[in-house]
Amino acid sequence: KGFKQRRARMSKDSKYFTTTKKGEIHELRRDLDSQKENVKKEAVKKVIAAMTVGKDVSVLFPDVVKCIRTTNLELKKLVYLYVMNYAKSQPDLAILSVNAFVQDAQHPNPLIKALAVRTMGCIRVDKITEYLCQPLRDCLKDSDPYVRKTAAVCVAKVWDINSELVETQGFLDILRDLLGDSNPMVVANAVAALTEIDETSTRDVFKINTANLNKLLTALDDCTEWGQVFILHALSKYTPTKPSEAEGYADRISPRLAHANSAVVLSTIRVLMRLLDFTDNQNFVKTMCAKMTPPLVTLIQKEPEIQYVALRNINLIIQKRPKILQGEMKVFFCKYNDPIYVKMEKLEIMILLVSERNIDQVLMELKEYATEVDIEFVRKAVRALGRCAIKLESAAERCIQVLLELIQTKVNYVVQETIIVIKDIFRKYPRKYEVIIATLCQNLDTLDEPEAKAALIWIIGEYAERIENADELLETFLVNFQEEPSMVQLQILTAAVKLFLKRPKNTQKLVQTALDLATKEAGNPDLRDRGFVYWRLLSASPEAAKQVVLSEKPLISDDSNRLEPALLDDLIKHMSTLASVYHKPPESFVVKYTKKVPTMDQLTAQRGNRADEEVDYADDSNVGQVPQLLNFGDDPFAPRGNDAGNRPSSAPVYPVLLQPGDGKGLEIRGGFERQNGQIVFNMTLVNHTAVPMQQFLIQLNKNLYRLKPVSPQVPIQSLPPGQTAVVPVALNNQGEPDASTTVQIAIKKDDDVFYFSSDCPVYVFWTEDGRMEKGEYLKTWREIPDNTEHVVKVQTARLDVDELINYLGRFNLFLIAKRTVEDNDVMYLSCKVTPPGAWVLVEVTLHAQERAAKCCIRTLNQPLLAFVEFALRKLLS
Amino acid sequence: MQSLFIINNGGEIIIEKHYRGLMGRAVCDQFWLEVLKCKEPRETKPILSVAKWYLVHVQHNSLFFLAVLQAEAPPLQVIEGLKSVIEVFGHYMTEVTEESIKDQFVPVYQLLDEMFDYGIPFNTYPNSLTSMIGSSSVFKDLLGPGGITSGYDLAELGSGSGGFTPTKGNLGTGMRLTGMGSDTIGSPPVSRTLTGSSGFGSTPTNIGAGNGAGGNMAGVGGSNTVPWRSIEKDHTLNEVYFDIIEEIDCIIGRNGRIVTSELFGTITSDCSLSGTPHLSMFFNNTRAIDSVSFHPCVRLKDWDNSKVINFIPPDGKFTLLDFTVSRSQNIDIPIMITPVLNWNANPPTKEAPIEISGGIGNLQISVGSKAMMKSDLEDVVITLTFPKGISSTSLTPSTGLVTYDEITKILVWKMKTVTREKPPVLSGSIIVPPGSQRIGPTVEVQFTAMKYSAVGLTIDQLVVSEINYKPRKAVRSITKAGRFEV
Repeated sequence: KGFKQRRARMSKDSKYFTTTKKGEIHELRRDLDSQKENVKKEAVKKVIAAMTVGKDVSVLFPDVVKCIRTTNLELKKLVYLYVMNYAKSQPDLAILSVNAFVQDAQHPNPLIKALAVRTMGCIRVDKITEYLCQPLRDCLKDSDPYVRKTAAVCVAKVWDINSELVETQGFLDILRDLLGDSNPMVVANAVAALTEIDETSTRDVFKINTANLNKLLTALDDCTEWGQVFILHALSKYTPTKPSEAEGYADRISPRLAHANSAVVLSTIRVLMRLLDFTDNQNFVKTMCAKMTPPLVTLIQKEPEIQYVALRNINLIIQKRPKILQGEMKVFFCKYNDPIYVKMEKLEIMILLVSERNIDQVLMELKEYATEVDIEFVRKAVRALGRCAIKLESAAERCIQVLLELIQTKVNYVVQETIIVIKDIFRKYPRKYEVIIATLCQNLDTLDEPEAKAALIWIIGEYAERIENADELLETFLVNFQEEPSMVQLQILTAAVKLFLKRPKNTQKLVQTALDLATKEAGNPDLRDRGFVYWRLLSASPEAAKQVVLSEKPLISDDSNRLEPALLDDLIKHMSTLASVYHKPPESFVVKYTKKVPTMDQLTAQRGNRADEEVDYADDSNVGQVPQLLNFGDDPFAPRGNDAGNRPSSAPVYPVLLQPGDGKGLEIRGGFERQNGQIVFNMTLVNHTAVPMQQFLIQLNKNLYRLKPVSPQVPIQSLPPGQTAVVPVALNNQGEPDASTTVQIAIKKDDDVFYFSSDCPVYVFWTEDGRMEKGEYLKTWREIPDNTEHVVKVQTARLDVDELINYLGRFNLFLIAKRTVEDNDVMYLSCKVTPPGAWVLVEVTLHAQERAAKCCIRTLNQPLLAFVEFALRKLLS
Repeated sequence: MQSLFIINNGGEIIIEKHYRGLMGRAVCDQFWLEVLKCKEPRETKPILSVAKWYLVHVQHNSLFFLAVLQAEAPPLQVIEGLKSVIEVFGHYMTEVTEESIKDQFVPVYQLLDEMFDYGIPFNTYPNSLTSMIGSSSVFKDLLGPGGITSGYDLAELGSGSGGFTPTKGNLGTGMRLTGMGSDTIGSPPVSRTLTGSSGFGSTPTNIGAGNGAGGNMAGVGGSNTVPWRSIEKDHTLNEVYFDIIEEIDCIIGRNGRIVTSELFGTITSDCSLSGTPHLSMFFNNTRAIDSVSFHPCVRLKDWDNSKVINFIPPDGKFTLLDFTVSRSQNIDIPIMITPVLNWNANPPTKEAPIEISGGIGNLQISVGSKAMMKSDLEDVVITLTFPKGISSTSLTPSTGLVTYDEITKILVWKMKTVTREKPPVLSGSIIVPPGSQRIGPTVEVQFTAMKYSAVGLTIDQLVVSEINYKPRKAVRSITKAGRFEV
């Protein structure tokens, strides 16, 4: 009731959007200076309205800022809003407001206090940030939770503006302390802030361990839905130490599945999916999976936006644990008013779930979809029919029956799509469904899409011996050969050759014409080359040609929408994120890492370019579905195994070695790495100037490691303005020796020379052949005098043995044996340091409780001990 | 999220709010291009990747609520966040439209500032927001007589450090709907600290002197452990109402057999209780409930452990939970529909063989309510969609109103009530000309059955505790038809 009355008396604020009088600014200035609070307020409102419609009202900055000292809260908020918008463009004037902010940040009213700190954090002007530190520190320890929680978020804002400041001021430690705050909302915000910071930090600033885990779980039950999402997000990174822990902790969070907020539900499922990997208790897994089914089904009944995200994630869930949604096919049937993007995703899920049990129902649905109006959807439905046939052999016949019925509809695009699909079915079940070829050929004239045409011509060639008038059919195509797209031309050529090899009688002229057209008239090099190949083959030995052209093709299978297991696991870990919606590696969504792995794009590009007849078709089933995904195994930079989340190897972030200020606009980051058996100085060059940079040369001063560039040329032609280039410089160890352990580097660019130095982590000298034979290891271990053993204890966060072994292995420190002594894991490792080519043996004992690793280093080459220790410290901490 | 834009259906920006530094408007142009690519705006994907941005949006009343992200963020959180923006706006305007947003742009900006900090959603609860941020120009009206007073001391009500058990008779005024013994309530003590460590009482209100809002502002601080409930409300009439609404999706075969049936339920509440009441709701048959999704106020753990719904309600209307009913559960459909159709086929001709010779169909549809219904069926609407091929119909009802659209061939039969004593009948004939197939109409049914639950779900007991007055409580069940076809 109250609202109605209020509305009735409401003045029309929208009128402010239309005022465009002359002298407006002048008038506003006068009003802002008024003694009357009301006049001022109306004026500020007008200013904000002008700002909203995109007018520049920054000239009023001093006048608006004057109003900041008001006691009227609404007016104060409006002024703050204005300052936030224009401070960046008026940094000097913004300083005017600092005093008022600092004062407000000490106001007895917690709301004002919080508002001031919140707003200051949004101003993003360096000078103001400095003033913010003291009030922020006070607010983080304020007695009012509203103030504390606002301050917690503010730390993340300051981090974004000036991360060094946050570190030096010790704000990170205060934030970590807030994880134990008595107020769950404060805990949630501290989690949110730490997560934000962690994502853009090069170090791990936010580790979940058993100590803070319980605090988070307690806060989880009491905080708002948004807080729950942050906490669940953080929990998803925790690795339980034993199965019983994983189970207990899954039981504790599973009630969240009944929350009305879909983000909470999906985040919960994400944590549960991960926890299930840590237990072998099949009963437990079964119960948990059963618990996840109803909330997932509920998500599919929500608004389409939520459905879309849910469906993309369900796609992953089904690939990982098909049981969860096995019996829920009906939920994924498309409703007529679903937006197309939901329908498309539902179709994908239907194919994932289709089985002997539900195929008939699915076929009925798909047939229905094929008669709808949206062409894109209809095509996808027809393709789905084909994929069902390829997936379920026992149902292939029924699928073909439905496809034939669709051909009878004579709807042009349906027919064309159907033919493409049937071609795939032929590739899966050769010579099984030839009877339908006649029906297909009847539709030859109606085809106008290259893909459909190419498909049918492929069928004609493949089954040339069964199609009586194959020669006539192909001849009609030859007439317009020149006009056809190259995809169709290639198929005509191949089909003609196949026909000739199968029925040489009367077809010689046909094949000759095709070869002539392909080799003499065509401008497409692919076509020409293929023509020549066939020609040579045929003239050299028709038998050989038969073997090549008519060989058995590999069968295709429907794994088109299957993700590679490593990527799938990675995405399951990152469920409910953008990565899981796009099904792309999570790293690609972390934009603040400036250094990207350079070879990834090149790799994908290479993969897309294969042009070979059979491969063409094998790839066909991929069209329009999941894009080509990277194969992690091939990528030398990518982490191996499951620990794709480890940053150092996937995207090492190097320190800045040359500041742009010192380098006349050239910024250099870099570090030493071992890549493919070679030591490389990986350099990231950033051109901050407006002109291109050229002629880069590199030289290394004499150093202990005798490192020297293989060539003084830096392998980069030129660096355009504003660009960043990642350049690996190959090194060898044939330089002059010197005592210096840091490597001094000189870079020459155009006519300038810049000097900087970099530490060389010693592990780059550990060679790939550092895995010692077991017997040899024991023998060597004994040979080394006990008193020369070097023992160090290193604090480490890498407490998962398998992960650690994997990790060290990547740096060529290899595991020889491991055992457990009094609950501690002990590993025996070896590496070979080159130069001088000496063996080093290491025993690492993990003390999980102390979060430390004890390392005993043994080698006959005593001077190496210090280096190995240095390297281990670097790797473990 | 980096920034939030509200865009109208012409692609114009109405509101922009930047959480992490200013962002150019060009990103909206990019978004708009994507919208234009789609046949209809509603077909635009909710998540788009454009240049270096990720654009997440939801639509409402031809408005686009667009969040721009630069880095990874949980998309559902963003979508739910945007949806709550729309919901909260709904408390400030009759309808969320371009015009009303412009009208209320001052509170709109304040809301966007309060709901998201640094682009992360924090407080999206209408109760606490409306008490923090007033409607545009009538800020003062919030503090009308009997409106919001901040005099209550939480500690006093919370009996010290809090912690309430629904069984404590001295605290609650538990009303027993059935004879369920109080010791059967196996829920563990719910620990919710009601320390209220700040704000209340101690906050000077001089800041609010200018606008009169300071008084209530104080209570809104984070000190409130019940974020969805604004502050101590004081109502003259302390009442709480619950509606159990069940919607049946059902397909019935022509022989009257149920082909499929599904039931979706909702319990909505309208609550005006003073203080910080703790409510516990017990059902007679929780096994019937298959999957649930609860309002944030519900203690999910207690439901998981002992199937009791413990909650501190927000003020006003809200949806307590949505549920679906397990498939094993028997759904008693309160309505009976029996269509009978007999054909008199025309003699076949050369042009029209017997299958399509046309003819006259005698149609009779009778509607009845089933015996277990205590009251009559209400608002019964039966929609018959005939195939396009028929030439005419002549159907008359024994009661109610029939309208027939010649072009769409849709007949609608509306009845206010259907009683068991006099089951209504619609009868007559349909004529199919030669050349068309003799097919009957599809039948869709809508109805409302008050005081009826198709799965027999009732609230056994509702306990209100932590209060010092006797509230009025009422529950009613409503069963409706969702997608109901014969």
